[in-house]
Amino acid sequence: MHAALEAIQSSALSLWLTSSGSSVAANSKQVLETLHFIGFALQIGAIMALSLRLVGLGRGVSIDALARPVFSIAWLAFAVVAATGALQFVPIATEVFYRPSFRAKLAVLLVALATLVWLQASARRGAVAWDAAASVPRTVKLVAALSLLLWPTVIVVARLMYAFVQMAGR
Amino acid sequence: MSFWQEPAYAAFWLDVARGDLATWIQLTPYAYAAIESVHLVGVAFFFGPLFLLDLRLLGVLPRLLAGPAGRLLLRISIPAFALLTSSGALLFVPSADRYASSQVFFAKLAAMALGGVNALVLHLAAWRRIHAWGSSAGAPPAARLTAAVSILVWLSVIALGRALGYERRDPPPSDLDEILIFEPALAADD
Repeated sequence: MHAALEAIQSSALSLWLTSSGSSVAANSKQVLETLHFIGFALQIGAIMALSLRLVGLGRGVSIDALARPVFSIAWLAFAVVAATGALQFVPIATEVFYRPSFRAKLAVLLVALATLVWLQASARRGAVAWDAAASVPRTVKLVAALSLLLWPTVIVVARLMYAFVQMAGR
Repeated sequence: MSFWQEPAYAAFWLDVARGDLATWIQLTPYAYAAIESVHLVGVAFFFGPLFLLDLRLLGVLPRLLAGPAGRLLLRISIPAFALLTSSGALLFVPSADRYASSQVFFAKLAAMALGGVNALVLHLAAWRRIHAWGSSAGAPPAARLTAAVSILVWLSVIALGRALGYERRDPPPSDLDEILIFEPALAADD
C-alpha cells in the first residue's frame, strides 16, 4: 500500500501539481480548493434543502419536483468535489493517508453518501405518493435527519484534517 | 493615499487584531478551525438553496412552484447568511489589520454588497408580484436577470473568500516582534 502511495506522490501529475513552472501549476492548490468549495457548497446545500423539506419544512413544496434537480445537482457537484479532492490528495498521499482525521473524513463521507443513495432510491419510488398524502414516512424523516447531521460533519472533519495537514508543514 | 491606509484607521484595526478576542481565538486550540468549519457549513446552507432558487427563476426547474419553493429556500439561506456574517466577523478579528488593508477582502465585501442590491432588485421588481407568475413555468425577465447575476456574484464571493488565504502577506510592523518572540514559549506550554 505504501509503495502505491509513494508512486502516486512521485508521479508526473504530482510533480506538475507542486511545480511552479506554469502559472496554472503554481496556482493549482488555490484553484483546486476553490472548485472543491464551490462543489461541496452546491452538493451539500442542495441535499440540505431536500432533507429539511423531508423533515417537515416548506410543506407547500412538491417533494417530487424538488428531489429530481437536487439529486442531479448533488451528483454532478460531488463528481467535481471527488475529482478536486483526489487531485489535492496526490501530492500529500503518503502523509495524509495515515492520518486518523483523513480516515474519519472518509468514514463519515461514506455513511453520508449511503443516506444520499437511500434517500434517492426512496424518493424515486415514493415521492409522488408522499406529495399526494402530504406526509413523509417516519423512516425517511429519520434518514433525512441523519443526512442533516452527517453532511455538515463531513465539512467539520475535513476542516480539522486541513488544520492537521497544515501543522505538518503542507 | 486610500482611506484605509490612514494611520488612525490602521491603528484601530491593529488594536482589534491584538485585542482579547483575537488573542483568545488564536491561542485556543482549534478555535480558528472550529469557527472556519461553521463558516463553511454556512456556505453550503447559504449557497446550495440559493442556487436552486436561481435555477427556478431561470426557468430550468419548471415543475417547482416558485412561491412555496422560494419561501422554503430563503428560510434556509437567510439564517445561513446570519451564520456566515457572525462567523465571518470572528474570522476577521485575528487578522483585522491585514484584512482591513486587503484588496481581496474589499473586493469580497463589494461583491457581497452587489449580491445584496441584486436580491433587493429581485424583491422589488418581481417577487412582490409572485402570485401573478409563480405558478407558471417561467419567470419575468427581471427575475431571470437577477438569478443569473446572483449565481455569478456568489460564486465570485466564494472564490474571493478562498483567495484571501492566498493573498501575499506584508511583513508585520516591527513592534509586533515582542508578540512573535513570546509565541514559541506559549506553544511549548501545551
